[in-house]
Amino acid sequence: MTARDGKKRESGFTRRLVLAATIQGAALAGLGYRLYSLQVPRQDDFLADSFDIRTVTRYDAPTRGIILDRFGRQLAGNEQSYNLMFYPERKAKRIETNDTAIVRRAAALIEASPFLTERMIEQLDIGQDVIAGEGRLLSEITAEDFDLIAEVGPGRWPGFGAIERFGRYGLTYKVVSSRAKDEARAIEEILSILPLSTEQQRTINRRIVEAKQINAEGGVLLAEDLSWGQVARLKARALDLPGAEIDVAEKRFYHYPGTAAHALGYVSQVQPQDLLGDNDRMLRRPNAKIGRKGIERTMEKSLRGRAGRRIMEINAFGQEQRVVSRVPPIPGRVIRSTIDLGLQTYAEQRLAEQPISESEMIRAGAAVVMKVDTGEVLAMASHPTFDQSIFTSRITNSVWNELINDEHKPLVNKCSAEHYPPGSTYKMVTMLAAMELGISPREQVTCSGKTEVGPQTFYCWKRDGHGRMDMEAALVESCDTWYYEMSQRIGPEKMSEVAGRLGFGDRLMIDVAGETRGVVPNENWKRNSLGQSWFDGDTVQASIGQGYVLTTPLQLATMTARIANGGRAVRPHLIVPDLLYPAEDLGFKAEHLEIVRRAMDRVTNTDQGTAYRYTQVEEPSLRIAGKTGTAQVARLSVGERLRMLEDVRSLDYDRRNHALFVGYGPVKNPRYACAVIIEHGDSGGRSAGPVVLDLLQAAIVGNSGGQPNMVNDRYNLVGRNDEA
Amino acid sequence: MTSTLDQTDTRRVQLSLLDRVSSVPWPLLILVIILSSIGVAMQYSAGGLAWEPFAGTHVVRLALFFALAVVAGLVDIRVWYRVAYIAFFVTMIMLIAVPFIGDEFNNAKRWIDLRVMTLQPSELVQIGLIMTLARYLNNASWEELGNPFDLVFPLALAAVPTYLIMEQPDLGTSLKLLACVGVILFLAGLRWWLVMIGVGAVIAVSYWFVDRCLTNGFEAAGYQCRRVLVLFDDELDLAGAGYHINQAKIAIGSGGVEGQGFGQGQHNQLGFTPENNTDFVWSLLAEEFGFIGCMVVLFLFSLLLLYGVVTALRARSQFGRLLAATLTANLFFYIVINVGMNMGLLPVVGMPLPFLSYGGSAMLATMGSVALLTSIWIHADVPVGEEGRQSR
Repeated sequence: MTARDGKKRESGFTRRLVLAATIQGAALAGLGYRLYSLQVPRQDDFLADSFDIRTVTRYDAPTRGIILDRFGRQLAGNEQSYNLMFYPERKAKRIETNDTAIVRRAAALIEASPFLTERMIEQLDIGQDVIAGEGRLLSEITAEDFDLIAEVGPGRWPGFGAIERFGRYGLTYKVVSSRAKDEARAIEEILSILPLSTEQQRTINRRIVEAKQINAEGGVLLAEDLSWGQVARLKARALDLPGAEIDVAEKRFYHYPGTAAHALGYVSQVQPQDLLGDNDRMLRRPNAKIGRKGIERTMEKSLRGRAGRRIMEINAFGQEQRVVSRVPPIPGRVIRSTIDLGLQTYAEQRLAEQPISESEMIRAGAAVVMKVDTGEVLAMASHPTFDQSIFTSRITNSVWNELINDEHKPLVNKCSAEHYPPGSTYKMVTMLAAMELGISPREQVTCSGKTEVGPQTFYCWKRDGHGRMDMEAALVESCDTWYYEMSQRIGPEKMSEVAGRLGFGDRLMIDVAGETRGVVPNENWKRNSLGQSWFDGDTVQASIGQGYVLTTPLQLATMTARIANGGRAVRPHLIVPDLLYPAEDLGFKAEHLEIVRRAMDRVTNTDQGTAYRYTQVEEPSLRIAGKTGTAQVARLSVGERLRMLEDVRSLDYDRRNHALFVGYGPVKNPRYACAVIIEHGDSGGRSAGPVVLDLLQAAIVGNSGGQPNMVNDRYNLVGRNDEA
Repeated sequence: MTSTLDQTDTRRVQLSLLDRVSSVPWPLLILVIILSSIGVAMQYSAGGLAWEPFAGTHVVRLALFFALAVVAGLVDIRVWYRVAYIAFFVTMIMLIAVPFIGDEFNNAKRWIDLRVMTLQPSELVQIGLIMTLARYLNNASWEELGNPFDLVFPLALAAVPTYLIMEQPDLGTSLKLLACVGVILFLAGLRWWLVMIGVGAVIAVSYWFVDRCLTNGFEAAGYQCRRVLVLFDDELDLAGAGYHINQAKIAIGSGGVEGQGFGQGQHNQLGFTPENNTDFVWSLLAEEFGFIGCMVVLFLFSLLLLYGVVTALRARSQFGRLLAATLTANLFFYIVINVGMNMGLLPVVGMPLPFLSYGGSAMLATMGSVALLTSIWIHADVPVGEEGRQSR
């Protein structure tokens, strides 16, 4: 090697090293510039991203407002329930995980049955479909429908799509931000073009709601009502279960299942229509419940409370580190109902045990007890009843079908949502109308057992006739002929006007919805709803509460209360109001009401009275006044009528007369009114009378000293309403 | 060749220990101590503000390796020259042994368990290869380097470890090794036309690779491709290949100018930036100490590299020059690749940041480089190899 060569090497090296060092310097400067551009101008963006990634937002369910009876006893409360939630959204925030494996691990930890395990996996799949996938599969459809939906869907029905898998076709739904109205229309249109059974439609509706809830929550509900042991095992292994969370929720709890079910109502799964116009976060939690029927439905907004919000910092494994901010949930309002648990329980028991013939028990009926001066409903019993708590957990189709297909309609509140011909309990209306038209109470009509009006002949229930009847006697002995005759002088307008003032033909409840209006017929009504003109025979029928007249037991009780309280327009209510305005006067003359009340007293307490055998009481403070009603529900032949008199069991159940009774008590200074109907109970006095008597006496005794438990003591009711 | 120089050389053939100690490059060692201290602080933060499990081990290792490095730095450069081939041979044996006795972690086989520490031969073999090439090229004349056929031996020498490391798989380290080979050949005097061909080949291969990745689409691409593609799209595969980069960028960006404070980088402390004590320690530094802290560290690294360049320029022997410059380049590649991938400029590969990242092998390689640089600095004027023989 020559020195020249060495020099060349050295100078070449130096030049090249300077070049390399320059490149290095430039590269480092480039890194500095990148650093600057990430950190200085964009810090806020990245801080926001970081916050978004390391926090999760959870909505805390508020305690649903409890419902108390009038003495503060809990009717509907809540029980704590631990649910297992899974949040696939976390997947985007941490290193890839196998969600199915995690869910299987969780299932093994809670010792889930193979069936439940599969359902958990299915829930996870649904969650992934909704959150990140093609959408929730709603239903299988035909190839033609597939083409239709694939073509029309995207434009006209936002969110809906069609997929094909293994030669089969499905309707899918994905939550898109569109106007609720458009979506409601889309759902309606799709359901109308697809040939689906009601059950399938129900399923689809439920799945749509589930998809919305999963989408809003970002997670799915894997398992409900975990035990303490299951929760402990899951918590101990939380590190192995990223994305799984225990949700501490509350579940509606009815302390007395079946009791006051219709007045209280129940809570059940949210349906698509519930989400229309209600943006509450609570309805969009998986498995959210909403109040149905009765107080639960009417007071839903107050009972529900407001969702709380928690922002929690989590680590990369999804474990909670600390709570960043927390808005506590606002619990729902406590509702104090007017129901007297003791009386309610007794009413239900009393109804359930009432025979309708020598060997047959009641199948369906209703009883209402209210305070005559305020309209507070103390008891509202509808038989048969149902267990409200079955809706609290996921209800199966078979249970649901059994309930809605039951011919005795356990879900229907027969006190207010069902109407019946009132029969003779309506006679007070005709009586008051007659007096208001100036017909003297002393005027007499001779009952020969039948009356001819125009071409028709109308029979009194007593074929032999009652003989000479004045106004009072006609009510006491329930002589139909008197009413037939007088109806022609009163006319349908006056009769319907008085009926209206007593509360018929309209919804009466101040606070709880779900009533039917019933029917108070007159010329206008008949022309408008039936398109027919009014006949004199219609007036005759209406005068004894038959024909077109339909009333609810609640209306009958209200009528009785209004008669008993001196003609003030009390309205029934189920919730203790903050403020009760004094009921206005209905414009009845005191002496007219006095005559009606005296007649009603004689019905129950004198031996001419139709209810004397069933309702007579010696003790003056426990005496009640009332009126029997035996309403014909089918046009019976003369033969059937005779057979019925001999043995009611020979007649088909649903052709037998309804048994009604309305009453108030005590006779002096009335405090409570009661109406009872026993469906197809044959005789108002015999079937319904004793029930009314017992309920009124229970009310009188039970509340006399403000001692709620006296009812129980006296009637020896065991257990069900003991809160100890 | 003047006699003055000859005499000077001869006089300095044997330096006394006192001579050596007195000419130790203190600024270099102080830089190393400062950077190491920052590293300990970062390990302390990464361990959740505790000495366990990282910072304690890190500080012990640093102290030990630093002491070894100072001692090794006092060793005569000619000893290093002599053991160059042996060093390469020994590290190669270890590298070859990895597939047979190595430990697997994260789907890669890179480690050998030596009881006291796990060794990553791929880190060490780089030093061995660079020493070997420096020694080989020390003896190659300008003329010889003009002949492409004379490049066959050094390239073949480099190809074996490169291939073995790529198979582990550790693409980043193997490419870095190739880059070091390129640098040493370039500095040794590779002809410009060959340099141009090399640079052209690198550009062509990169272009071809990226283009192929882009055409195949994300789903069809292998994981190497995905790591490249996520650089171009912030939103891509955030749970998979894009996860590290996305999280690191968020953490770095969150730091702002002043940083969130020591131990206060929430994104890191909650574990969203994985491996934030090793390959992603930069994101931890950036989140907690911000732009200012990072610039200080980059400045210290620049000084370190500058010191390496000056060491190379000061060295009189070709061996010393090439070794110092290439070791410096190697440190530069560590820094640029690591910081670049942390900030989403380069694909994510396994690449530690010198002094700051946890891990013994890379630290051993780094401290080894420091030791060699020290030795070269001290023995700047000592002739090495045939030069030395010739002058004797």
